[in-house]
Amino acid sequence: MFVLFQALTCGVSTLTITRPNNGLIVLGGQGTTGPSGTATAPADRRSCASVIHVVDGLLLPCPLNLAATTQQQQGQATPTPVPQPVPVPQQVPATAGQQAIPPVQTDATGAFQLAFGDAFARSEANSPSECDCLLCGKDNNFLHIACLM
Amino acid sequence: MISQTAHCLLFLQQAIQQLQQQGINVQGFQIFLQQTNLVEAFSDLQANATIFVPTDEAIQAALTANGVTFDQLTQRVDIIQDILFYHVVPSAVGGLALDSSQLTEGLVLQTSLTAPLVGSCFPSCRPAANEVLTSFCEAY
Repeated sequence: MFVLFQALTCGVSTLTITRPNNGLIVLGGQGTTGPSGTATAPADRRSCASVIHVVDGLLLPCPLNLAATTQQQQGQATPTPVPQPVPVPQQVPATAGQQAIPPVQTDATGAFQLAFGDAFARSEANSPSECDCLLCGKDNNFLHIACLM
Repeated sequence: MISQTAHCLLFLQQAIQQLQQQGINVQGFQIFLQQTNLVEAFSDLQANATIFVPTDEAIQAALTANGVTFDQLTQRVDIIQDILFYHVVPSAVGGLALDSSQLTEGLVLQTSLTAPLVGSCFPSCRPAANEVLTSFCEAY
């Protein structure tokens, strides 16, 4: 998928899709000016029931104006790079009734070493769907109780 | 027992990691999620959300264009939260997330900036603009 980014008008909470000839997808709000960049985004990625689209522009509901509400910031801001890197596999803190998620590890080849034993690997191997049961890889049902017994 | 949310969270992390292995850096987006404690909300099993993930280059370009540093922005959780919500399109009732074939000419999408995610407590328990979201389901 390819996505263009357009600047947005303050106060708009919708995104309008423009897709000439069913090709390049342009995201924008009403009253936008023009595209400000191009993208080389790959195909959609599913994260369980959600779909992730990589876009080449930051969608802003309003122009960034930190000075108006940030009392401690003085003078002209100097753009700095986005900090690099933040480790992707992170320990997810446990909440009540939940088990903490250990980080996803990779080996020297970049292959995933599984946080949940080999259950995830078996699911990946057995199932075309990312959201099938972790243990048996079937039914788009995430985790069968019976499989846990 | 692995919760379903935890399961989906793993997939979100995996999707981000796969992007990075392909040279697509979205660590700024990750930092935004962490700063606002919205990682879990964005991994909500029930959300069926369409999520537009900006690359680091996209974030950097926007910061540069606005004369703002990344550090300055990350100090403003309220603004980051609005930006994140503006990148999420909740599903209609019973609907599914939109793939690129469904992003058709003239389609107008209501973002989570004002519309709650269907089937989820996010962001119905959204805090006031100057609050830090400590637990997206805490008040639900």
